[in-house]
Amino acid sequence: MKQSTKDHISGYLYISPFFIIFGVFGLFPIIFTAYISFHKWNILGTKEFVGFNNYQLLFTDPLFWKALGNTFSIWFISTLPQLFLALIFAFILNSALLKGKEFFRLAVFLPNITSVVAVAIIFGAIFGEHYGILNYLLSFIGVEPINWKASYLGTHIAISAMVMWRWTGYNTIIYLSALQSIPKDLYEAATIDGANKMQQFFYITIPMIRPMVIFTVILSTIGGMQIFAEPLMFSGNGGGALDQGLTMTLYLYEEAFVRNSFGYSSAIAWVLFLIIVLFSLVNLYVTNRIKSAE
Amino acid sequence: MVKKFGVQKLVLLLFSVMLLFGAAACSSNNTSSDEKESGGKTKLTIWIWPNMGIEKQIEQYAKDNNIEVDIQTSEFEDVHSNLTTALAAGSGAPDISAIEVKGIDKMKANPDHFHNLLDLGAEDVKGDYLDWKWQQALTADGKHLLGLPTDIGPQAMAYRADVFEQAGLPTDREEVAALFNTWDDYLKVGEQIKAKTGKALIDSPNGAYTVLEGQGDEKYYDKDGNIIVQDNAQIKKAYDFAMEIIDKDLTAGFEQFSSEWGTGMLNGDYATILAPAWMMTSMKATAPDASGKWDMTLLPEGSGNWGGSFLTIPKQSKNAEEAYKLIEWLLSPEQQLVTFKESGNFPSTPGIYDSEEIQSFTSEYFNNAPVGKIYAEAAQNVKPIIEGPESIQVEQIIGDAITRVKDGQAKPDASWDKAMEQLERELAR
Repeated sequence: MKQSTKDHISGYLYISPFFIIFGVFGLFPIIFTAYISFHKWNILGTKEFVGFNNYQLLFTDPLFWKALGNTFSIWFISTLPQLFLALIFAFILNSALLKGKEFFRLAVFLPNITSVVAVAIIFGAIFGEHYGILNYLLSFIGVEPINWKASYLGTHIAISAMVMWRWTGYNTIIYLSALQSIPKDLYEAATIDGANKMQQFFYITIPMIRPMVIFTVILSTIGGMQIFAEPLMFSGNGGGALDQGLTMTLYLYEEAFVRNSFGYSSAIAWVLFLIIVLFSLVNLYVTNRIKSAE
Repeated sequence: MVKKFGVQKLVLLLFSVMLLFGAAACSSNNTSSDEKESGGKTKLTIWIWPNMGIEKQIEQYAKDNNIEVDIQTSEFEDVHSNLTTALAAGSGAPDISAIEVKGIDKMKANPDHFHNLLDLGAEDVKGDYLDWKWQQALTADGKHLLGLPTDIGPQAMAYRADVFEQAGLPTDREEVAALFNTWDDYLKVGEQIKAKTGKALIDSPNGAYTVLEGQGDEKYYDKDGNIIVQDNAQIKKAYDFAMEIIDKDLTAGFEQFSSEWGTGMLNGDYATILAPAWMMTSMKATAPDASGKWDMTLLPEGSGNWGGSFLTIPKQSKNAEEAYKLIEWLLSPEQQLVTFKESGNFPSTPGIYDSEEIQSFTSEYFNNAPVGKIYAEAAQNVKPIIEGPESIQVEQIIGDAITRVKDGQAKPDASWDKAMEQLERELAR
């Protein structure tokens, strides 16, 4: 064997682990899911080919639309304030005035490594109707106990609170690194040119960190579309009596592992995938538009 | 040379990594249950959920019979879904798995995934068990038995003596039982409790629904397997009763098994819980500090069954005979008695209901009430009920309908209609 051939082979071998693992755990499940989605299958019995029936059912299924609506509602309530807050935190952490920066940086990131199930249990207790601390605090200003778990808005707010608590710090750290990568000279030059703090913020800081903002928006979008553990723990099986906590992934899980309709569940998985792609593209388009509007 | 050697070594290393992956993928077919020879001992893997109260006995049996057991506890729902997945995958199932009464009907559609216990000698112990319970694990043709019965869920009523006293009601067990001859009496007592103490009669209207539906002759399916939810008068009665509780504001509005429910249990926010036998364990675990504050008596209008399980041997088990020996021993009347004393889960073997040990068994948690005697009496009143393949789903849909009304999100009739629409849609799929 020629040395150059050997070098080629060794090169491919170097990169092969990723492709092998991706093939086994990534590609195969994706293709198999697509195959299953054309069948009626409860995984114990035999598969029955039903063509596009599952997809047809899906588009006339009110629960699916409800799950879609809930997912977007929770995403919207959680993402916007979250990113806004993260930006503010990042500014505070970046300011020269703050003492004990290391401590606060760690503290702000800490929620992110907490187990999501633990978060859901604690927030479940906070938002409890009878013994929840939130209702207890509200009682001081004369508000009657609110049954957070019973309404759409209450449930969505509670779940969004969990998402925000857990991910704000994560985004803060990303923004912070973006802020720190802005060269100091720019600010110095601007100061010499007579730009005030506000002008510096809008004409230097914001444009410089825009790529990171786009990055966090896309990440939060994908994360928000896949939200699962929080609604499961907070609203219980099926997302509650009004399906107020039913999200796309929770619906997918219910269909597969509670009702054993694996074909239908696979169809949901594929539609969810397409929605995420579509939504990410829309996001990208919008954020790019803002960029080029400069 | 050195370089060449390096490349060869690397190629070798990468190939071994790939082989390892390949091997891992292939060997997953037989890693599951046949870990027979671990030091010459047979090893049995057992899947159960918390509070079944049989761990200690299983360990004792393993010690006495020189076998090894691996007891894996997961949440109730997870045991069922894991088992389904393992059966479908063709590997990973345990030697013994618990399945709840509503889950066994689903499995009966695919009996081939389980060893037929009749072939392993179960016919000999048939006489030990309640007939209706035995039938639940038997396929329609009567030829394949999927599991041996563990406990059953006869129902009684737990009540707070202190709340009754505050309301000016008798607190003695016999006298409390005499207060409630019918469910209407129960509501009247509830109104008195509400008026005098401001406390609720019951933890959750859903609990009342489940108890009342269990008092009928039929539930969701008739004996031919047809859905009869709409036409079953007992279900209508149970639903209407739950609605009345909500309408009269006699419920504390807790969600059963939530953490707040436990706090309410400790504080006495509600005067009664309609409790199947296994609820005793659940209450002790949820509100241990309420020990001695609760008491126990019989229900109005008979009893009913809520829950209860089976131990099955999946076909994947290579140690079916050893596994069968274990469950036959574990679920014998003598051992079910031990389980009952340990955890409160009530035996499925009627032969011992009249035994001195059950009749004289009291529970400190329930103010030394003779819970053995009470549940034995309740068990005699249980009517055999047919569960169907989609029972869990039906139960959830109606439960949601009740919760909607409880939360003020819907009117009783509209909520019921919505539930029936949902049922039709889901069963059509």
